[in-house]
Amino acid sequence: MNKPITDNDRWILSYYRYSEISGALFFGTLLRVYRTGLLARNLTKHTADESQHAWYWTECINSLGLEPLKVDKTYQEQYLEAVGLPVNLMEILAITQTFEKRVINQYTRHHTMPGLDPRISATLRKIMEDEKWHIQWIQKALQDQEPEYGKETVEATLKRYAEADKEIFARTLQEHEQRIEDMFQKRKI
Amino acid sequence: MEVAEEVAQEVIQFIAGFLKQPLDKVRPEKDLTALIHESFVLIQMIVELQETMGVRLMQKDLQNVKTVSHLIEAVQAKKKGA
Repeated sequence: MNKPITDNDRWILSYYRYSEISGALFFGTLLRVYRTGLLARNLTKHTADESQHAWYWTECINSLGLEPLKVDKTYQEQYLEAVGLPVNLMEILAITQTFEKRVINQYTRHHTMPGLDPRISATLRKIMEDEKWHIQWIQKALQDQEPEYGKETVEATLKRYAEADKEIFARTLQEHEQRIEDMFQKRKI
Repeated sequence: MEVAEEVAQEVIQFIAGFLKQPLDKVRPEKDLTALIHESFVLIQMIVELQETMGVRLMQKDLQNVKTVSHLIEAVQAKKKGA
């Protein structure tokens, strides 16, 4: 049986929505720099997907009879504040890969929540399908950076960003511990 | 003109052009985040600057860069090392 939608559900869906918007804006900015070739093509598709995901969350939130909440800071913003800005294509791709993996991880976790409203479940499934392609194309694009930066540098960059992500995610969970616990607790059978 | 001075002028001209601002708005002591508030646009500017100046910067090169003159020094160092 589906549990009623709570304020915490509204908050987390709004957080997802705002993060997708932030992703779309970021990739949209990159499209001003990278305009040609396979990289530009993939970035364009990725930008379109992020915007589409923001729409899916908007649609989902509205279908629950709600409006999105204002969100202070996205995960990406917290992350960039903590680790600093990427300044070349390799670092941009590495940081993006880290975010995409975090997103899939979080969406997967959310999807396993018992009693999840089918509208939220359906939205998560739709988005996760796209995220698989995101990870694949970025992985390939990162391999293409190896001749310029060296395999070791690319791997070290990914490792550094992944370690920072673990810390920031732990901090974020702690910050919103009560909210998240409440969401999962209320759905325990 | 010395190479270092040339590089400094090129960087300032680039930033001014990027921002569509007059040259005198891009003073060396100016904080980069005061010139460009949006972090995504700052990333765009730094990536495009590298293409224009023919250098490749890493995040660690810009760790202590706060101002226009810090950025100029980072580019000058890369040019020297190249």
